[in-house]
Amino acid sequence: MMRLVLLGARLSLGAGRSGRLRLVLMATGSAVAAFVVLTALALSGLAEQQDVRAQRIAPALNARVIPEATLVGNVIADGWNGRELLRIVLAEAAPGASVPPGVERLPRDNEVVVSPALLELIETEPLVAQRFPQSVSGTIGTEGLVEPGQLLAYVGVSDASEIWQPATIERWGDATTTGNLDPRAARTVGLLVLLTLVAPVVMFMATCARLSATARTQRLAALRLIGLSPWRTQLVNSIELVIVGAGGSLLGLATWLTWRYLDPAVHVGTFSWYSSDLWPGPATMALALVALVALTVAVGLVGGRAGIRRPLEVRRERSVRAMSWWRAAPLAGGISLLAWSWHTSGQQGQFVSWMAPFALGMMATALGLVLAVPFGALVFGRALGRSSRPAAVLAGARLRHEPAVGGRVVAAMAIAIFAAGFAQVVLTSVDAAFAGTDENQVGSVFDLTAYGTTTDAARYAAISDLNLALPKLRLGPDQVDAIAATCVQLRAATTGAIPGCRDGRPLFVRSIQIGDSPSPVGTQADVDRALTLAGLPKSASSVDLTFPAGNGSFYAAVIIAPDLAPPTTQFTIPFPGSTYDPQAVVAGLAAVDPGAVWDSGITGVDRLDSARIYTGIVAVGTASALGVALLAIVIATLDRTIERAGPQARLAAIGTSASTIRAATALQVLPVSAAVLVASGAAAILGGSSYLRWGDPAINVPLGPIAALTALGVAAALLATLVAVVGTITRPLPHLLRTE
Amino acid sequence: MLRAEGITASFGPTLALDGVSFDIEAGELVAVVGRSGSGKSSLLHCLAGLVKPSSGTVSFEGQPVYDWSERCRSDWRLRQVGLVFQFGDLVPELTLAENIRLPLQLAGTGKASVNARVAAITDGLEISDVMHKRPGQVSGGQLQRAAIARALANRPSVILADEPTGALDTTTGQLVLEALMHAARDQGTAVVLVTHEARLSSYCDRELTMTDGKLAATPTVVSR
Repeated sequence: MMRLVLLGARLSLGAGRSGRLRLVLMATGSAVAAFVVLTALALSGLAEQQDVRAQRIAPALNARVIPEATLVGNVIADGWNGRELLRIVLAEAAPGASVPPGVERLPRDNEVVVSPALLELIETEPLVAQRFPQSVSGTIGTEGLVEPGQLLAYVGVSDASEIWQPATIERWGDATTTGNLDPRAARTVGLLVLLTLVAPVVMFMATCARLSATARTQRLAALRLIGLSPWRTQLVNSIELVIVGAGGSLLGLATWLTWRYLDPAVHVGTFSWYSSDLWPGPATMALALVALVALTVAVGLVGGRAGIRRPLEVRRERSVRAMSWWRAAPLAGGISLLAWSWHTSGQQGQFVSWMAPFALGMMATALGLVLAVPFGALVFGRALGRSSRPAAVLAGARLRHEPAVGGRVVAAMAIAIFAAGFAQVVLTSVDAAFAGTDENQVGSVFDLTAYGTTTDAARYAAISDLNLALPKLRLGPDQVDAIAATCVQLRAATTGAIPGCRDGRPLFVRSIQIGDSPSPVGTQADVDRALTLAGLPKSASSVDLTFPAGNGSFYAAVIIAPDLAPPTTQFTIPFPGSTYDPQAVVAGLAAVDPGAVWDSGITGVDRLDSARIYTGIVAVGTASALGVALLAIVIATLDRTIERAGPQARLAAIGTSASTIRAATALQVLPVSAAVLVASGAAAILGGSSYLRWGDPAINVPLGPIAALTALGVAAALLATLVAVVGTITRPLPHLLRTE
Repeated sequence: MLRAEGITASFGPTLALDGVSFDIEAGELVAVVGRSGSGKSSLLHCLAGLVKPSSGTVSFEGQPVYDWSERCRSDWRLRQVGLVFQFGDLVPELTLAENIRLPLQLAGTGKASVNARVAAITDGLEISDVMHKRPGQVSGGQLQRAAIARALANRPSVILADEPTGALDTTTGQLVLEALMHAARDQGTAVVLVTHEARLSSYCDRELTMTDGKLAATPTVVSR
């Protein structure tokens, strides 16, 4: 056994420059995969870490100002460009007041202590600067922020009278507070990203594990011919792969740890985190690394089968494959299922009976895109073989001889384009659900405890930005929810037109959670129940709509024009969100009802930041997938360039012209790669269309972004072709003419 | 020692071996000659336990080789059979020394014995000075001698050589042939030599002629 281990170790070191280059490429592959997987795993645990931070910095408030209070204040949620901006107003009531985490001293009257991100905004955005006329007396340190990009300000005032709804701040630290991400939702999103990344990463790992596949297969065949049994040969192969995979994974781990150390505050768009919070835990990390090594070994073992089962054929290069029709079956099956999903989604409302075939179709298509490459290569190789042009004949022969090679080069990119294209569809759906909320505003949804007198209406109407026209209302016993949005936003959110909707005109909304209902769209019975609860005649309903699944929940919404609104509490107030000034809203609310509490009131994925976070995470996932895929193409192309050197030198030796060899090389790489990548884009469009017909029939598939992704993939294929052509050996170099 | 009885092998529509029967005793040197495509290599592969004939048996010391498991056949090939192909078939990542040591190490031979054995073989084949090089860095003759050395390393009972001198010059070919003859004469190894070269046949005890997958009815007896 030890001898086999030593032999595997010896073989893993390779030989010669090309061997060492391949070793480095394989280890790099494992390293990149480890880096990506560790990041994705850590992202899902990031929410918990940010929760801890949020709890540490949140003030524990006592709603009353007690005489012995040393510090009074209030938390006011504000916003900028869809990002939450927290303003904590403080007044030192007596000596000995505790200082917020990350702050050196309490801000005095007319002073403000801000987070670094907010300071940058104040310095660059005049509109933000206007909101903070106080002098900036300092910045908040790392320990006082949830994330490096957090917009937080501690505003100092002279006393409690200057604070709207002052409360006693008993201490800093409130265990009931949550961070920007709901941990459960974040875990779900993190898992989704991981799954999105898994396919390209697996393909990437497979690409890297199959580097120097020809040489390794030959080596395994040679070992078999000496007299090594299949099992022992696989053991040697496994040891070699374990060493390379483990070495690469450890390299990835080291790089990841170094990155965490060197870049303590990471910003990806408006998404940010402290590297110290990005820690999946030693057990998870160990498991992930072991899984990656196992994957490397598995791919290598599968790839080495030919050398072990058919050593003689392999050594004599007789392993030309027959046409494998079954390879086209998963793609055909997947496309068929997606087409069926597209066809039936409009008529079929059942979640499980539709989603299961759809998901199966997506998976089969993704798998099929990879498996079909050798099939396509064989077909194209046969077609080229009919040509009389030498380049086409040579390329055709090579494609028929090694049809699986193309798959190694473009598989990761094909999967990435398919996954990223579909992610664009999901993003579009999310964007539509949150339409307009990324404007310069905060709180497109907020809760009010009370409003509604004629005087109040007049006061609201005086808020120029809101431009409300409130009807005469009486307060009801229930909590009041008001949704401030434009009619356009409401239409997007409810996926349908709303009769009677006019910006500035309140609409009564009764939402019924129907998550437990067998029907996702709400039934007439739901509507009737809502109306009965509201004390309204059943005929009063104007719309029966479903809020889309973008926020993860289902609601049947009954929207009723104001003339039929009940003397109760829930109103939609459509108004143009783009001109909305949150400070004006705060002022207006305070004027109407000093007891009103304004709160964004949303948690988890329903939170206002959701669109930003969704977008950020999907963008990070997409970029990572494409990056990994691009790297896979580059690495596989380099590997193939090395592998092709010998055959090309032999072609040159028999007098084949350089242009013919180059043309043959280009024909081997470009057509099949480009066709597969275009097919991936087309499959993403089909999958996306099916999804939207089921979830958001009013939304069109974002053809532009998917086409751009596909074009990027084809450009990568062109790059691969260029690299292959540039690296073409056109001279009969002696060392390449050796058969060994 | 090694016997084939009525073996038939086909690859697709091609009948490579058609009821071939043949045996070889310890210390015997047998040449298998014939035109290209006559089935010489296929016979060698069947004898080596690499290609199972569709009918007939191959037996070693009375034991049917193809009744053994794949693992047993591999182990038999490692310890009892030395294979030599026309282009060496060494592991390209290993140096010549490592290649030659490999079967000894895999068979569990002690380090001291391995070194002594390798030194003895390589001195005789005049490749001691290139032992640190990899197969891609040496000449075809050196490569082939290294392959012979590897085949001889475990003192096999049988050596099956497929045109071992086909790509070599006369002098080098002679060296290779002498090494095989030495194995047969001094170690009692049975050597089956597939060759095109009539000159090589003249050194063998017997010459068998293959034609269209069949062995010539009467083996040619060659005088030494």
